[in-house]
Amino acid sequence: MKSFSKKVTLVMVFVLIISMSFVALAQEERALLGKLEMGEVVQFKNLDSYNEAPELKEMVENGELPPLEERLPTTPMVRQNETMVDGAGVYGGVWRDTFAVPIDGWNWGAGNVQGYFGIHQILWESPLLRGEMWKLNEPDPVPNLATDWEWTNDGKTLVMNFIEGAKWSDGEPFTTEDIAFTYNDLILNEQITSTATADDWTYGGQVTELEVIDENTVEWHFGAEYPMSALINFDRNNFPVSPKHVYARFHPEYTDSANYENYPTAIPAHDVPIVTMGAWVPIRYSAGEQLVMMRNPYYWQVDEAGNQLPYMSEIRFMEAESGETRTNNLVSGQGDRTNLENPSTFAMVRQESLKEDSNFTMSFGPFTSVYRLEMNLSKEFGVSDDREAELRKLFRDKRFREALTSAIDKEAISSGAFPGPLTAAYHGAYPDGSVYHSADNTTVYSYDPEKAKRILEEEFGFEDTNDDGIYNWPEGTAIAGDELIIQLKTNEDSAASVQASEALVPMLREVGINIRLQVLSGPNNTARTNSGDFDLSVARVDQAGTPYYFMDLIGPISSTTPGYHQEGSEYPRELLPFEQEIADLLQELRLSRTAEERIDILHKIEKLYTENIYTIGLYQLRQGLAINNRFKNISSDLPPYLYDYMVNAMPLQIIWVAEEDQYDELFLDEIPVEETYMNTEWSSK
Amino acid sequence: MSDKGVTEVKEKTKFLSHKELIWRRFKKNRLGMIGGLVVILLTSISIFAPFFSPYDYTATDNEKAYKSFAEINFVDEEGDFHLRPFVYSMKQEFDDQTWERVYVPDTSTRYPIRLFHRSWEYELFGFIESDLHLFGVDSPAELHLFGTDELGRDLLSRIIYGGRVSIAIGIIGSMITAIIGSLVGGVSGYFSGIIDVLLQRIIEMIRMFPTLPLMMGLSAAIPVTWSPVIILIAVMFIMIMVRWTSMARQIRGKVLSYRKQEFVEAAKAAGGGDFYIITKHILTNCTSHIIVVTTLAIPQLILAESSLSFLGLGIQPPMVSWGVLLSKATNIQTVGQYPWIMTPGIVILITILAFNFLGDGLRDAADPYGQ
Amino acid sequence: MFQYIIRRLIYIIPMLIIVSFVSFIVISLPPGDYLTTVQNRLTNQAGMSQDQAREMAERMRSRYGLDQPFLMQYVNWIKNIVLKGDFGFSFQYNRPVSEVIWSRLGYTFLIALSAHIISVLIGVVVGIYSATHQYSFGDNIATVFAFIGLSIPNFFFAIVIMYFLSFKLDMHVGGLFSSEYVFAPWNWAKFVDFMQHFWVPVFVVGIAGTAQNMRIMRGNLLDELQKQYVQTARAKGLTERVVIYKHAVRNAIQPLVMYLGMSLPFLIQGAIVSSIVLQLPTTGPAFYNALLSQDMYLAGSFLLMLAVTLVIGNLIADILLAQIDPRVRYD
Repeated sequence: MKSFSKKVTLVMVFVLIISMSFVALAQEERALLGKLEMGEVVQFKNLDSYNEAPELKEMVENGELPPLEERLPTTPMVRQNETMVDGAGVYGGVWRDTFAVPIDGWNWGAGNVQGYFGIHQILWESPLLRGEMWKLNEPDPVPNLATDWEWTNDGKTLVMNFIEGAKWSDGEPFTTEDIAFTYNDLILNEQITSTATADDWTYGGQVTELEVIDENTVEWHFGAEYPMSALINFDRNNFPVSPKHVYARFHPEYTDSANYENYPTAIPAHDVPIVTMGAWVPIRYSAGEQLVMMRNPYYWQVDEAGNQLPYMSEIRFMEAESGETRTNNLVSGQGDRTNLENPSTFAMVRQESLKEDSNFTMSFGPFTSVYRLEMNLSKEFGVSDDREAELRKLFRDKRFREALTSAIDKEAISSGAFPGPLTAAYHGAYPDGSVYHSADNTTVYSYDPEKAKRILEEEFGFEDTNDDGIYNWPEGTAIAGDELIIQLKTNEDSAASVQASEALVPMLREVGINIRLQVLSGPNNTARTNSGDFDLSVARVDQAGTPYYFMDLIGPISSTTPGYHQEGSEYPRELLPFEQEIADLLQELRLSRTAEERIDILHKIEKLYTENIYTIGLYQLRQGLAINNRFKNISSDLPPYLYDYMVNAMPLQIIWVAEEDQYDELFLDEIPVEETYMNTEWSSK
Repeated sequence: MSDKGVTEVKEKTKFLSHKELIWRRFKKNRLGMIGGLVVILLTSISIFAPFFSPYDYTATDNEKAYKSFAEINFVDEEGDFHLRPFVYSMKQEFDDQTWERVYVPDTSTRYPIRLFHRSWEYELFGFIESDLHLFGVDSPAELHLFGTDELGRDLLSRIIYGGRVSIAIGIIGSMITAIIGSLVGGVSGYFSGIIDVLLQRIIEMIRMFPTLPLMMGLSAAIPVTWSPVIILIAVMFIMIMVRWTSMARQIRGKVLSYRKQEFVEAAKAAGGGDFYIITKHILTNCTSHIIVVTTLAIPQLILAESSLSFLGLGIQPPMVSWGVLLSKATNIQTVGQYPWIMTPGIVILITILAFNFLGDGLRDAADPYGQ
Repeated sequence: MFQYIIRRLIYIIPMLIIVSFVSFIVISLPPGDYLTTVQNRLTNQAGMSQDQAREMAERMRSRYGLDQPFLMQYVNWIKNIVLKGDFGFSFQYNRPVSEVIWSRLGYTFLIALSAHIISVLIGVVVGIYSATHQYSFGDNIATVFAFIGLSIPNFFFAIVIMYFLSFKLDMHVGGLFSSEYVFAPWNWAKFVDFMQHFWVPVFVVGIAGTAQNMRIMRGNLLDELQKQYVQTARAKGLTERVVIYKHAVRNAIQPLVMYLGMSLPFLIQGAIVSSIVLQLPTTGPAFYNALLSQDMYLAGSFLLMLAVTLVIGNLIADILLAQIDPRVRYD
C-alpha cells in the first residue's frame, strides 16, 4: 500500500509539474521581451495577394477609392507572425481613448501639439521607430519609413533607402522630397519651431548634409565617423515627416505670400481631415469634446497573410480637463486603456481590477519613471535681482547641494507617495530599472538633517539671527540679514509632483530653509522653465532610464539643455567643472559604436552625476498599464514605457478584437477620400 | 378713581429700550439662538485656534498619511467598559490585496483621551506661550478626529486654522464692506442730486458684472510671488470691492425714507453739519439694519473665498483656508478612497447655516413687520 | 410703459461700454501676454537666439495688434465686435473666439435656465404644500432641506454628488455625452444619453434656487392666508382649493416674479463653478483656462457676454416689476 500511494503521489506531482509548465509555457508564448530578431518583427516584401477591410472594399466597388493594389506600396512593410501573440486579426472594432491636452493645430512640423496621450504616436511617422525595440534581443531601431540603411565612406556617410511606392493618406506619393522638406526646411530652419534643431544634427562641428539620390534613396553626410547616435534623430519625436505637397504652400521658402509667423498656425485644430502616413486619419474634432480617427485607406503595412493594417477601423478620443479622467473612463468602462503614472491612483485601480465584473487587466513595469528636484544652475540666465543671483551662487556650490540633499528624506517621500513596493527612493541619474544603472557608480547621500544644518552654518555662515527658525543670509552677501527663502515651482497637472513638493516644505523648514511653493498651470510652468525664471523645480521624468536616447535630460548637450542650466542670450554659460566632463562624455557617447562603449560612458556619467548632485532625486516608480480585456495581440509583458509609450510599443495597428466583442463603429462612411481633403479650408488657402 | 391703580400699573410696566425689545424677540427665535451660539463657538475656536487644535496643522508625518476617522473606543479587548474613551496606537501597514494603507491598532496599551492635554508648543497672538490644548492623547498614540491628509497632517487642526482665515475674511471683509457701503449709501441718499446720480451709476456699473467671474479675473492677476499674507489681503480687497454695492443700495433706501423725517429737520435747525447728521442720526437708526445685512453678508464672503481658493485663485499654500482644503477633493478617485477629505465642506455648510440662522433671527427681531 | 423701457435701454448703452472697458482692463492685468509664452518656446524649441525670438514675437504681436497702446487695442476690439461680430482671436484654441464661445455659452445658459425653471416649479409646489400644511412633518423636512440647500456651497455639492454617483451607484459622471453620442445626430437615444448626464449639473445648480423659491413662496403664502379676503372667501363658502389656488397663491406668487430675473445671474455663476468640478464643456472651464493662460480675447469676451446677460436679465426683471408695480415706472 505504501509504495502504491507513493507512486501515485509521484505521478500526480509529475502531472502537476507538466501542467504547470504548460501554463508557464503558454504564458511564455505571450511574452515577447527581448525574444525576437529584427526579421521576426518587420520585413519589406512583396506578397502574392492582399486583402482589405470590408468597408474599404465597398468604397472601391463604389468607385470612391482606387483598388487595393494601387494604394499599397510596391513593397509594403509586412508585420511578422512572431509579434502577434494571438495571431492574425479580424477587421473591425473601436479603440476608445482619452486625452487632456488641447490640440494646437495639425502642423507637427512646426511643433504643434496634438494632445499627446498617444495621438502623436498614431499620426507622426518617422524614418525609424524605437517603440518596438523592447521585443528585440539586440536593441536596434526598427525600420519604419526607412527600409534599410548602410554606413559607407568610413562611416561618414549613411545611405538610407525608403519604402517604395507608398502614399500619403490623400493618395499623393510619399517620396524623399518629403524627407528633404522636413529636414532642410523645417528642422534646419531656425525660424520654425520644429521638434529638432540643427544642434542635434551637428557632428564633428559640422551640420549634417542631406543628399537626395532618387525618389527612394538619400545619403546623409556627417562631420564625424560613425555617429551612431544619429540613428536616434530619426525617431518619431525628432523626425516626424511633414507632407511637402501640403506645407510647401505655407512655407516662405516656396511661397512668396507666406510668412514664418503664420506657419505654425497653418492648419488649425478644427480643419480636418489632414494628411498623414499614420494608420488612422483624424476626421472629426469638436474642441473640448471628442476627436475621431478612421482607418487610413493608403496605409503601407500589412500582416503576413496580406491583410492591410490596421485591424481596428475607428479610434475615438474623448477630450477631458485632466489626465485623471482617462483612468476614470477606463474604470467606468467608457475608455479602453490608461497609463498608471500617478501613485495616488494605484490603489483605486487595483481594487477596481479585483472586482468580479472588472473588464480590464493591470500590469506594472520596471522602475523607469522618476520624480526629481532640479536646481537652477545658471549663473545669469533668468536672474532678475540680488536674491536670485546669490541663490544661483549657492546652487553652483557642491557643498550647498550636499546640504540640500541631506535634508531630504527620500524614503519618506517615496512611501508617502505609495506605501508599497511600486515606489522607491531615488538618488539621481538613472532609475533601478535602467540597464545603465549600477549601484556601484551611484553616490548616495543619506538623510542627515544635522549634517545639512552644519554645512549651512559652518561652511556658509548662515545664522538664524531673528530666531524664527529660518536662517538669515550671512555678512558678505548682497542680501545679508534677509531670510533664506527659496521658491519651488511645479506643474499643477501632476498631482504626484504637487504632493512631493508639499512634502519638501516642512522637511526643508527643519533645516532652516523657507520654501515658497508655487503650483503653476502647465503652460506657466513650462514658460518659467524656458525663461530660466525659477529657483527650484520638481518634475516627473519618464525617460531617465534610457539616457542614451535622451541625453538632454542628463547633461549639457545643447545651449538650452539641461533645462536647469541654460544659456542666456547675453552671457555665455559657465559650466561647472563636472558638467564640462559630462558634456565631453556626452559628445563621446554620440559617437560611440557599441553597446559596451555606451554602458561604460554612461556609468562614468552616473558617477559624476550622483557624486556632484547634478539634480536631487526624490523617488522612482514603476509605471503601470491598464487595458480593457477584449483586445488581442497584447503581449503579457508589454512594458508601460521602455523606449516609447504603449501605442508605439504594441504597436496599435496589430491590435484586434474578436467580432463578438467589437463595439459598433459610428463613422464608417466618413473614411476620407480625395474629395474630403479638397473640402477642407487648408487645401484652398 | 384712585391714583393707586395707576401707580401700580406704572410700576409694573417697564419701558424697554429698543435694544431690549429686539433681544426679547430674538430670544424667542430658536433657530436664531442656535445660530448665534454656533457662531460664537466657531469664532472662539478660530481665535484660540492653537488651543483647540490637537496637532500643529503644518506637521507632516508620512507614517500617518490618509488615516481615517479616529477610532474611539469605550470597550476594550476583554470586553471591559471604560467611562473615559480611549484610543490605541496605530501602525501603518500595507495591504497586499487592495494596495492601501491600513492602520492596525496595537491593543496592548490603552491611551485615554485627556482634557487639557499638554503637547505641542505655540505662541498665541504672538506673545502668549503655551502648550496647553483642549484634548489630546499621550504619544505614541494619536487622535485624529477627522483623519489625516496625504502628508499625514491632522485634518481637524487644518480645518480649525483654515477656519481662522475663512471666518476672518468673512467677518472683517463684511465689516469693511459695511463701513464703505453705509458711508456711500448714506451720502448718496442724503445729498440726492448729482452726487446721488453719480454714485448710483457707479454702483450700477459694478453690479452689472457677474461677481464670481469678476473676482476670478481679478484674482488671476495676483502674482504668485507675493507672500501668502499679502495675497490674503489682496483677496479680501477684491471681494470687498465687488460687494460693497449691495450694502450701499440698501442703506440708501433707508436713508431716503429717514431723510424727510422730523428729527433730521430738527438736527439741521440745531445747526448740525451734514456729515454729523448722516453718521450720528440717520445711520444710527439704520444700525440694526446694518448689523443684519452685515451678518448675512458674512456667509456670502466665506462662500466666495472658498470658491476662489478652491479653484486655486485665492489663498495660496502654505496658508490654509477651507477652500484650499477642499481643492484636494476635486479628484474623484481621491475622494472615493478617502472620503473624510470632504469634511471641510460640511464645516463650511454648518458655518454658513449658523450665520444664516443668526442673520435671519436678527432680521426678524429687528424688523418683524418686514419693512 | 413704453417710455420706461426706452429710458432703461438708453441707460444700458453707456453702461455696456464701461463694462466692456473694465472687462478689458481686468483681463490685461496679469503681466506679460500669451506671446511671452510663444517667445520662450521659440528659443527652447526652434533653437532660435533670444534676439531672433524676441523679434518674431514682436512681429506676431503687431499682427494681433498687441503692440499697440492699450486704448487702441480696446477700441479695435470693440469696433470688431460691434461692426463685424468678431470677438478676437483665441491663442489657446487657435481659432476665432466666436467659434469657441458660443457652444459653451449655450450650454451654460441651458443649464442655468433649466435649473431656473425647475427650481421655480419645484420651489413653488413645495412652498404651497409647506404653507398649507404648516408645521407638519412634511413642512419641517422641507424647511430643513431648504436651509441646507441655501447654505451648501455649490462646488462642494457637486463633489458630494459626484462621489455618490461614482462610488455608491457606480455611474459614470462627467461630460455631457457618452463617447458614442458626441457626434451622433440628435435622436431619441442621444437625447436620453444627454439627459442622463445633464440632470447632474442642473440638479447641483438648481438646488439653491429651489430652496430659495420654496422659502419665499411659503412665507408669502402664509402671509396671504392671514389676510382678510381669505377669511371672507371661506365665509362665502368657496372650497378650500379654490381659496388657496385661485386667490391666495396668485397673490403670493407676484413678489416671486420680481425675484426671478435677479436669480438668473446666480445660477450662471453656479453653473460656472460646478461645471469646472464636473468637467463639462461649458463656460466655466474655458474661462478659467483662458484666465490662467492669458488668452485675453477669449477671457474678455466671456466676461463681457456674462455681463451683457446680467444687464439683459436685470432689464427684464425691471420690466416685469414695472408691470406689477406701476409706481416703479416713475423712478
